[in-house]
Amino acid sequence: MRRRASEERAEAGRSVLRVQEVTKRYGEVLALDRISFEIGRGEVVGFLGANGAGKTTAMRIIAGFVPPSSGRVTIENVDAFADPLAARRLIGYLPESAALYPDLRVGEYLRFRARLKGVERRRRAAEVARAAELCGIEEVLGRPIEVLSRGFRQRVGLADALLGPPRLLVLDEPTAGLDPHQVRQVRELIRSLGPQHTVLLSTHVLSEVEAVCSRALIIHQGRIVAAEPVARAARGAAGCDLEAELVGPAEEIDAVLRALPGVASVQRRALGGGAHAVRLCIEEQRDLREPLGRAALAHGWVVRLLRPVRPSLEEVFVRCTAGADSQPHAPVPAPAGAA
Amino acid sequence: MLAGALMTWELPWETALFAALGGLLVALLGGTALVLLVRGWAKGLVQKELRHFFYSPIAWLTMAGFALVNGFVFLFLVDLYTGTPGEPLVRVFFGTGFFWVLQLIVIPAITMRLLAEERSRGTLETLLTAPVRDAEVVFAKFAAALGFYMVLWLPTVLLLGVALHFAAPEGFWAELWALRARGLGWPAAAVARASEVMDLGPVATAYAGTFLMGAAWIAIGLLASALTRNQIVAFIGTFVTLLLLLSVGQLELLVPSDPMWFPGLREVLRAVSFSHAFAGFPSGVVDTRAVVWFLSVAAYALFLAVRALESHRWR
Repeated sequence: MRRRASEERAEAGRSVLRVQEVTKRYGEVLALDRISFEIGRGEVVGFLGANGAGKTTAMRIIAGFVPPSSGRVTIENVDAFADPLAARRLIGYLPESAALYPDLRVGEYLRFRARLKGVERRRRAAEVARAAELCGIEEVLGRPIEVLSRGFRQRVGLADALLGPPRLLVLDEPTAGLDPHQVRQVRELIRSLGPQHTVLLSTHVLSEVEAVCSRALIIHQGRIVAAEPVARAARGAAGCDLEAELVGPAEEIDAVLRALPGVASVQRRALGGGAHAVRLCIEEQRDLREPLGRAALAHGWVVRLLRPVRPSLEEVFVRCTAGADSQPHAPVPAPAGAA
Repeated sequence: MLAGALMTWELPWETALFAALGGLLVALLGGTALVLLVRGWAKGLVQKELRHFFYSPIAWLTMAGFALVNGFVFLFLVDLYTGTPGEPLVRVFFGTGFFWVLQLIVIPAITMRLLAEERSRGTLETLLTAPVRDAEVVFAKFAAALGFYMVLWLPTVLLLGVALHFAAPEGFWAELWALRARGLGWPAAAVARASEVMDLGPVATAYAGTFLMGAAWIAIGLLASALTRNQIVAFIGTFVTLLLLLSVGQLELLVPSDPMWFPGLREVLRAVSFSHAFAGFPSGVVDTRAVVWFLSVAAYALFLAVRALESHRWR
């Protein structure tokens, strides 16, 4: 027992998934171009990219459905290509389509999957119950899958991925095709998995990464163009950080705000009736709400609105992908040791 | 020991060699099949495939139709052959046009969805990313399909009972019932008593032949299903292949008795033909050549199906 605990401590922080120089070619088409990244224990990483950027290909390679043309994938130090069965045992994978067998009942399907994944007989019922509870599908366990709504099916797929439990969860577009309410439920669920599970999820919805992930990998045309913590990625994109609506004399507002320390520039637009919409671009990462409030009080302006504008990942994304677009594609080297 | 037994039978050495090699091959294939079956069962794959069969209304309709057609054929044959002794009923029953046409339709219908549906639905991705080998998946599907196919034949055992009933003397069933006093030995005793009324040997070999040929045909169907995502393509591909393998024996009629360009062509065509290979079984003859032929076709088709499944990963 004691040794187990020390082993766990030693493992903590080590990378669960390591992807090294993975390239995938479909004939002439280069789907993935020398992708490398690592995911540490307990991280929730978002794979962000437009449709066709290579997300699904990357997920399929990691899950062991498709082999890479070259490169290496290791899960918990198990080489996915040398020992595919051991590697697949460590992964819970939700494919893009979340395809299920319509003729089976939900409970029956999950029991089959648990057995297939090698969950021992005496743990099986408890394991299915645990996954079903996490995903909120206990009440449909007895129903045939074909009568379930899209949202329930997605959650059954997710429960399937959670069986084991796996060391690494690979979720390909877990919220695709769901209505906003269901999207929120699934996100909550993924967030709740956070500390115990290591998660790699793909999406083309930027807000999802912001809502759920601790780190974003932005993939574009088969390459990782940015790999940053979500907060920093969001911050670094644009400097405009505060939006305000003030009622006061225009010249005074301009002058006073420009004089505030840390302000790079001020954009002002008259709204009529003495009101002005102001946007402050802030140099470093500083919080200027209080200085602005104090300035307004001192000069007798009315503050109608004051809010920080957190620049969306969208801006990061657009900037990254646009930048990559303009670069000429580097020639692809022959796969090293393609034996 | 085997050599000794063969010596006492005074077999020519070529035959003995062939029998030994054939036996080895059958044992090897049977052993592999058993291992794969046990593994597939342990992982729940075979049970899952059986569920797909028995949850579908089409399966039950097929079973009903199969039983109905066989029942009619049986009635018709009994009516036709009443009073003309000499031709055993089994041999006729397992050789009618109905027998072949029914299988030509039923087997592609059983096998067409096995892999094509998984692929078109996208469930193949979930299935193959679980810790299973492709060979286990393929063999589980094969075993379940073969099992279902043999279940289709189950109602014909009732027809055997009917035949027995009319062939047997007064009080035959009561006699069989009385045999239960023998405890665990009663099935053997009952079979022994029944064979006094009717020769059960050819019946057993007819079913064994149906099983072996079914294995080969289902493996071919499974291969077709592995090659496409379209079930109709799988059905037609299987149907055409089976029809060719079945009717290639008829081509021998077109071949001159001793062609210059391929002296043994007739023999080859006859050996390849499924109808020729099957012909011995309902007469009570278990031909090693036929057994080896059916089993090797099944094994090779299954091997190719696994390869076809693997190949999708590289595309």
